[in-house]
Amino acid sequence: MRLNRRLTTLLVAVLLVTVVAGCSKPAETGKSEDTKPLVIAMSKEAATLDMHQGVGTYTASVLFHLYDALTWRTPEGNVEPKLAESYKALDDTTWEFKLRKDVKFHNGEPFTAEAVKYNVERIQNPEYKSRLAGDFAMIERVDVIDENTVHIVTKRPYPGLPLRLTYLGMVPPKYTAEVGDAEFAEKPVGTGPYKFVEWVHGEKIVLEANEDYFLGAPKIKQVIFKTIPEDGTRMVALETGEADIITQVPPSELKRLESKEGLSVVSGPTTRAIFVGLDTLKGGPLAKKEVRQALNYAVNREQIVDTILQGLGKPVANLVLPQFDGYAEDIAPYPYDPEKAKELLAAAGYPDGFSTSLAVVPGSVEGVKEVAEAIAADLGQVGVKVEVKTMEAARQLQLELEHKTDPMFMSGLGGPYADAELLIRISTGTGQRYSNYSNPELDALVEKAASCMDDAQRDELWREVQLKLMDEAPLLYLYQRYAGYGVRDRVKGWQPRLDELVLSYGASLE
Amino acid sequence: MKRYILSRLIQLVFVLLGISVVVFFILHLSGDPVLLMVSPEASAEQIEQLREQMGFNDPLIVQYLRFLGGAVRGDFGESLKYSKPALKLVLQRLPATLILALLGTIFSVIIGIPAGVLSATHRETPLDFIVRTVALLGQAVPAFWLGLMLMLLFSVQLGWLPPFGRGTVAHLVMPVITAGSFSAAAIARLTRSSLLEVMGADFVRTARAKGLAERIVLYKHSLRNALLPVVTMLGMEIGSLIGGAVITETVFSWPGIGSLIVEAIYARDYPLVQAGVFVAASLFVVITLLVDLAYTLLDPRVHYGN
Repeated sequence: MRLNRRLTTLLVAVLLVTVVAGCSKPAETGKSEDTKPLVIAMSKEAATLDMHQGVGTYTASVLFHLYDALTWRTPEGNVEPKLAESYKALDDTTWEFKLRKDVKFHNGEPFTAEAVKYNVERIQNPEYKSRLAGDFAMIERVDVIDENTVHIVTKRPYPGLPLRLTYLGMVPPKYTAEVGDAEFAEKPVGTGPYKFVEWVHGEKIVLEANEDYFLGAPKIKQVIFKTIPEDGTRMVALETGEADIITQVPPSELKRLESKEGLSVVSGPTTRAIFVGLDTLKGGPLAKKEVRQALNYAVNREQIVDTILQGLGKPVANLVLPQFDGYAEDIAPYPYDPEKAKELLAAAGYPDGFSTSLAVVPGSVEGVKEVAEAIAADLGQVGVKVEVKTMEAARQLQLELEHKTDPMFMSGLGGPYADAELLIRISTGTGQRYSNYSNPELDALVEKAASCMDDAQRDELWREVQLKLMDEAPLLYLYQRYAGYGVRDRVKGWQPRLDELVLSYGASLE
Repeated sequence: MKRYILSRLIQLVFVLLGISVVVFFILHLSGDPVLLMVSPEASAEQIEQLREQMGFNDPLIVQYLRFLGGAVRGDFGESLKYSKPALKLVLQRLPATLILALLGTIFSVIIGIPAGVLSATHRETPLDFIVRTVALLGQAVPAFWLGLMLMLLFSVQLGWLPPFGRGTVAHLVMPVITAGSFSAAAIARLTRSSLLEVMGADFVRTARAKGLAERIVLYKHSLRNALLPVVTMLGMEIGSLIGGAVITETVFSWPGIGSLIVEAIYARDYPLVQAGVFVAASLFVVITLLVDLAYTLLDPRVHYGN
């Protein structure tokens, strides 16, 4: 027993020494402020570093440090050339891209027209099973005209091609073919402003500056992506300086973070439209457009955005967001008018309202559960009794796809290359997986607008679409998501982006 | 004894088999992973194609046998999310969990047993009362609350410790305390009650009557017997820490297998969940076996297989 006690004492001593030794201020690295790496903390980890298998904004933020595409979206959302010097449509289905002549991949391989052809073919190759295949299915083929010119031919007229191409990051043909897909995913090579250093799963992805970047070497020499799933921990990481930029700031934390020294909250619009999906295909009240209109009149969007989202959002009229091509400024959101809502319900045959349920996945987007509850409260005021049900993400997705979901469900759509056509088609298109609405006239109108190559005519067509979306009210429109980021003061020149990507090029540290 | 060990190992195989059946069927009946893997843009044909390629269209039994065949060779397939071998991903993150489990257990022992002894020997005094209350709180307080409170105090207010991640010894302190506090409390209470029970036994009275010093009565005679149930509990605590320190891992972004498995479940990443649960379950069963064998060292009355 003496031995046990000695052992215990020894262990306690070891523990104490360890604790004391470990107690040092975390930020002591001996480096000056600007050579410490930029640390970006997000709530989920990237899934892969192979450009053509990456889906989702968490992955995309890392990918677009490593890769470039023919075009890119400015932070405000405008499409501009990137690897291409210029581009234009030669006819309805042929686009000419003139490529820059000074671009090299990280391994020295030059970027040429052949590379563009290789990349498109890799994505479309059924054996490679690219997760992006569906997104680029409209490309018929790529013709190499000379070393710096390609023609991209689409299957149907598609004015949205330059926008869609912002997501087609380029991989080096020779290197990729040599090492194979599995090895490429472990040691990715692109043309981007940053090169891959290492990926410690679950902990961090380390990138370093590409000094030979064709637009000039990045000012920030090292970028580290860390994953912090817990909201509270992410806030703490920002406050202690362990993270320089954090994403997904809960609305309830905004005021508190704003008041802290050394950091600020930056926000900006995104391509994400938040709305309530309505099951219009199973009869009942939601099948009637007057009822749907009533619902749209009954919800106080302004109040929801101001109080629950602390202003991080903008009430919208429909799915065509302000930054989208075709947006009609003069089409205003449904006004908050509970009296009108009650009138419409009565006219539709529901003078005493009706009962229904609303599914929500907490955490799917900031404040969504509180928003759902506010909606239920507003609808209750006009006689529509709503039961809010919390669901798990994958399960809810499953139910939506099997069309077995609750009649109402919180939803949102967006993404790096989202535009009006994408959002409308996915959420309201006849027969579309996620759609619970059917209106062939609307489908045809959207199709026409999305294939119209004449700018003025296209705007007119989109205007018609928006008017129809308002009248038919296939969804309960809510707001455009504004993303909030916590940024430490030492990060200069960083801007939130419309496409929700967190990119480092152009920013600097002081 | 050897035969005992052998029979336990055979049981281990059956236990793992049973686990594999349960995990596999529950997972596969709970939702379609392919839908979570593609962008909303993908057409129905592409989804069907992907599903066919991944073998999800085959009957469940066929899929299960395919899985089992791979598992015995250590091939749990590729993670659907990361496209890397599932077992490799799990094993990469296993050391982090093991460190947390081991240190958490050591912490709980170092705090729990002395606390329990103190409490028992100073029964009904204020000291006893304090220890019992703290132990009760230790079991009642949720791990994420404790973790976040520690983080607020030591990272934000005092700036002494880093709030998340893994790297230096400083990174270990708060996760270990958070992971081990529940066990520490449970062990303290069990040690106390077990010791009190033993101290009331005849042989202890005899020892005292013989004139032995109280210290010898306590440590040489009583504690050794009292610790037997504690050892059992320890085994289970290590096991649960290995698979279940999810909350601690999530709060502190500690890259262990607990949070890996949970994330994989949300993503319906079957191969990863299966690999993770398997590894955790195997470790748990092995540890339980070792604990049982440890009994023979602690208690000479225990023999196996005779």
